[in-house]
Amino acid sequence: MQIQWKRHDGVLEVSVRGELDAENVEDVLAFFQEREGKDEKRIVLDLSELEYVDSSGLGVFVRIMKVRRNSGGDVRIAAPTAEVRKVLELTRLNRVFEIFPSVEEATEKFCTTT
Amino acid sequence: MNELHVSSELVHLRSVRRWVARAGVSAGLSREQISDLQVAVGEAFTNSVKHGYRSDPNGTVVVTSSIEDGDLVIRVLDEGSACSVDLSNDPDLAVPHEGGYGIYLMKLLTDRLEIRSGHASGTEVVLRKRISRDEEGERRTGPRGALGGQGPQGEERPGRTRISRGSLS
Repeated sequence: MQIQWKRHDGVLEVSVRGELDAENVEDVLAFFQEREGKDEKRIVLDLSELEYVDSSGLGVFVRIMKVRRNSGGDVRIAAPTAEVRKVLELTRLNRVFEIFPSVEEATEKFCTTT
Repeated sequence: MNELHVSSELVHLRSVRRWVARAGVSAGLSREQISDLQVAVGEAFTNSVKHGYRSDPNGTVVVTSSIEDGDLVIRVLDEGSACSVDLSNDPDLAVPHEGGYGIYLMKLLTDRLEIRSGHASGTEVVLRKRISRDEEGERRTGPRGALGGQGPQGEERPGRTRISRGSLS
């Protein structure tokens, strides 16, 4: 699993790649916890190269979303793979997160609405 | 019947998924069915490690595969603490949760799920996936990366997370 990130127009774009499961989920959690309180409240999760996610991974997505929303920000999801989209839909988290077809669209929407 | 024996450590999750994919391809499951089963078996394995053995790495988890009555049947067995599970107790999907989706996903991603516990010790999870006879095109390949193809993250090793910083703008 790899995490790659950049800041663009005040939005933190984070690409989570590979396979996210209970074994490595703490790494993702630590990555976001380190950035809490750093004025990085607006996050786009680029899931275009995330091939696998389990319930632990979903739980971390929910957790970082709650933290950001509590501080006036949000987490949006961009370009989930079919495998990831399926579990988001089964758990109805697709109704909780705003999902965009691309990182560019998710970031652009942040910039025009917040 | 094929068997996989691994220690009760989450570091084996990835190899368990690869093993399930191979069993699925051999049984003739479609790509989507294999992907479903990988998630479901992964959840069962995680539960064995975290709840059955309470993250004690000295236990053993056994995973078996067999074909029974037109189903691919995967069993996940541990000898950890028995815990009662109410399969009818689904999470409230109206609100997002930080946990509690595991058994729910196992139910939805299999054609039949049984969890046998309550013995002196140990839990047996039985996950069944119907072997369909359509989707010929998909059956040849299996899920993306399912058999350990290297792909874009080919150089990574299990258990290693790489964090890289991109450009700031």
